[in-house]
Amino acid sequence: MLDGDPYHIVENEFVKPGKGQAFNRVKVRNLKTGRVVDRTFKSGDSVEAADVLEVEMQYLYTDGEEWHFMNQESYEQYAANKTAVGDAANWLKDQDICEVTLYNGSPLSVTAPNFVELQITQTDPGVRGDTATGGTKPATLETGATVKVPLFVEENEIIKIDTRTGEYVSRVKDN
Amino acid sequence: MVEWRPSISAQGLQRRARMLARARAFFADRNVLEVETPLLTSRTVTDPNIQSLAAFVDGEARYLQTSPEYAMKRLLAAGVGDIYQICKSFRAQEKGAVHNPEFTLIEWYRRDFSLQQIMRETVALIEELLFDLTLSKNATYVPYADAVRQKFGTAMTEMPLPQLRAIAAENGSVDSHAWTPEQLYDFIFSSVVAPTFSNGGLTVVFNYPASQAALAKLNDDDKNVAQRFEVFYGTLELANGFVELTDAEEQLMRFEQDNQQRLQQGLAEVEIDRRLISAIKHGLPDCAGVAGGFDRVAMLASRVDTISEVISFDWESA
Repeated sequence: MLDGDPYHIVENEFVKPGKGQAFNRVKVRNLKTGRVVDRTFKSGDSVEAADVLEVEMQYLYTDGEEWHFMNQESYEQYAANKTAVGDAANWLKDQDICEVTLYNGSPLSVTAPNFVELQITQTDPGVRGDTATGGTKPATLETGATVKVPLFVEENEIIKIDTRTGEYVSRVKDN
Repeated sequence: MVEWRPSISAQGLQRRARMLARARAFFADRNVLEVETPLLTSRTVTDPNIQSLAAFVDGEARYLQTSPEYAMKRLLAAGVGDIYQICKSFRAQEKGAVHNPEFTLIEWYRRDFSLQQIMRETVALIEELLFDLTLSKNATYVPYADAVRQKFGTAMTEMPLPQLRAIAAENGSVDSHAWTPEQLYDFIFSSVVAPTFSNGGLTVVFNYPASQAALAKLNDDDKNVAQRFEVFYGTLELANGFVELTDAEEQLMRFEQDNQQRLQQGLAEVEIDRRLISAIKHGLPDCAGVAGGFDRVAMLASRVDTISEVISFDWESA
């Protein structure tokens, strides 16, 4: 806990002059904003531990205001607001398993699975012959998000997306 | 399989061996005598920023030396003349990319040397140990206060406490409102000033504030600064040296102050080494001494970023 916010320690470097005070220079990520900052502590100083827990949960549904998740072990349900869900909202489909970070028992952030498979609800037909140029076109997904896809990809197809970059990976062959 | 291999390369081991041979030749050329002193001693340093490791021998606590300074000063007081030693030293809690709790020091003492002379000899030794690596720039010599002025326009000792705290906070310090001026100096110097030092050559910082004199004599003309210096390569600290304090009363007083500071910081008091005080009282000749980090110089010579890569088995694999 720093200045009232929970942080995750990314790196911890020991700094000490031969004759002089020892310090720990740490890189910390603010779990609320995602920002990474450098902070230096006097060695031996202590900070309050943040009550933070990462739990795998199943995504249930959204009512537009909140996104609802269920802990698969306890069946306990949690509602995350727009800020907590963040970009993950673009990729969440009913029943997907994702990682929910709980802070003092409430969802603080949601991480979508690294890869998701979503159906294209709208995209313009590709122009034959253009595939060689490696051109792309926008496609709207069932979640409402828009991604760039190659020209040969068609409406109603299911595609695989890397949620960390938001980029198209491949087509998924349907049965 | 359990990892058993050394943390140093075969080439690195060869470089270390050549560096050791060069260091011995350097001192032999100057008629400085090689000595050895005990690693396990009955007394240890009072310095609040250095924590010793203890070993229990037949129920009695012995300390692994944090440097050979006290024993070497007793040899000096006995009249042995110029001496050097290459030995292991140990410091608890000092572990990181450039720290290993067990490390190699190269420590030497020269009678009647001025601050100028000892600084130049230290630079000469480091350059000798780097052999195949030539630094692109000659060493820069800069007083502590000037190094700070070049960054902030004012020396830290001339800054009011709130300004020091503000600079520390701007640079990411946490809870620095509770830090002492010396802690603020150390933080600002190592995190803000040292990063301005050249990566092309050595920087020799001298005339440290008197509050950071440690075992150094104060400057004859300006009692606010001590005849202490440090050698840096970029932010990497390679050596620390003093024109040595020869006043037994002053030395005892500094040890007692160390212990008071220890108590304030919630650390255990350390029994003062009376044998050292007696030796200084008997007569420590005018001399200057240096503790050089042999492993750090090996890091520079090998162009590596971690101490693990220059020692055979680092702390994790020892």
